[in-house]
Amino acid sequence: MSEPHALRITIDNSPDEVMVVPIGDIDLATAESLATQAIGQLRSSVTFTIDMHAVSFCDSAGINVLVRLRNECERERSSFQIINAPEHLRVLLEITGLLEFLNVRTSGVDQ
Amino acid sequence: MVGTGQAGAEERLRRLETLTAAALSELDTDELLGEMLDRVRQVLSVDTAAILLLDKLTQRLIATAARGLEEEVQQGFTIEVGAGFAGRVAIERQPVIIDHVTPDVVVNPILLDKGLRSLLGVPMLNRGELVGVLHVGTLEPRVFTAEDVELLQLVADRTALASQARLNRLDRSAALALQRSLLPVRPPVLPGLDLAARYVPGHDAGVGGDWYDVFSLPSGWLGLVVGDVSGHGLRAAVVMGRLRSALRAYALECDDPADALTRLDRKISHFETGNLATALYAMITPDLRQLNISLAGHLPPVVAVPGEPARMLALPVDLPLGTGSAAPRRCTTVPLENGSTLLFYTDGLVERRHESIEVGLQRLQAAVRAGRAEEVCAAVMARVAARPPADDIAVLTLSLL
Repeated sequence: MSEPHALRITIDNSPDEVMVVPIGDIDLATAESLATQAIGQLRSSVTFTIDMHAVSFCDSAGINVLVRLRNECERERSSFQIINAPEHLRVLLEITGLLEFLNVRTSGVDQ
Repeated sequence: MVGTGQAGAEERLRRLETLTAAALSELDTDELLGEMLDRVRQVLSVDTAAILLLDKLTQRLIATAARGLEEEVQQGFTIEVGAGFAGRVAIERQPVIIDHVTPDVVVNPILLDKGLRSLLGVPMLNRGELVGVLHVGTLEPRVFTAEDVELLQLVADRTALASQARLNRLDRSAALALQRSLLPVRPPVLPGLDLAARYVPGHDAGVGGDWYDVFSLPSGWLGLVVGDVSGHGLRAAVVMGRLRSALRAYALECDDPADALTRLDRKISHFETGNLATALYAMITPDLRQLNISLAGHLPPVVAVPGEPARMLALPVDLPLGTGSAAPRRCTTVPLENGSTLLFYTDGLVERRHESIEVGLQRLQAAVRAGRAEEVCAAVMARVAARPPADDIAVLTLSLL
């Protein structure tokens, strides 16, 4: 049995941009809290950014949440992007055909 | 025998404490719930006591144990979270007292027919998660005190733990039974083909939504499927079952795997909204010379030709199923060589927490050799699968003789 892994989430909400920074593992145990907290911050016509630099693990439950957030943004006419994806996550998203769909940026600062 | 009403709060508390501690360790859960309700009736001097447990699949509360209100269980009473008295307790996650029972606050006809006048219900929570509702009722009007509420809440908290364990056990065994019933007992026997498969439930998260499928089509083509519904437990297994049979139906009508997956994607997006799945659908020509394959967010198969190291097929990957996007899907044609082995699998085989999936894929390619399907499956499970696996694993191996 693996021990429970924690996920900490910081959110920076400015007029034009919502920046969500999950820190830790996004898995079955933590994905729902990421979804709830992130969707709670979503508004129309903002740039909704998930900074993944501190994500140490992400499984299919985590990917599910990313897809949901992306679709929620589309409904709200906000733009969704993922920045600073670590290599392991980038590979995972590439393998699952989601790099483009989830708008995964190659560097953290471009728009 | 336990006395009624006159005992002081401390004494009443002590009796329940004793029961909960002893019962948790010794009794079967159903016996425990019944025994618990008997004691609750005596200690609180109430006429009825009932437990409704939350079914996560349907988000309904299901009458599971009752005393003085046995009909509730016998008649299979269920109520939606948010509706009626028990549903209100569940959604508010707070004790609810009804001093005067009237049809507008109580939906359950059994409670009304019984002539219950006052009700007290408390949520059963385990680590903040709703497990069910415990409620008591009286045939005479009763004003429940803060102490009554506290006592009942204490029982509910203790019972929640045992009930959660029971639900988890049921969920686990039902999901595993469903998994086992859906996986082909024996792959079809076809001349020139050697097939073998494995399914292993995840150790940490339990049974998941992985599946594999093999079928021959009326056209003489062979269909091969491996898929993975995200999530775990009975819910994922149920969705998996639906996807599996839907894909079989589409397979009968489609000559192109990408077309079948497009239809399956539409089906998920519409009927199973919120679910995400990866899947691979491959069709092999009747002469076994060619493979047409389409990937929906799924890992590509590994191919081994005799005398050569195995490699992952380099294939375009389209979106997983259920994203809601209508982006077109692609199909790739791959020539098959005599004596080669193809291995289809789910991510549970290669994925490890805190290790890039590429490392697992390397490990897999190193373990596969062209050979008998059973032997390849055995080698892969022995050398690549984690023991015990964190996530569930499905593997389907096909060798051309």
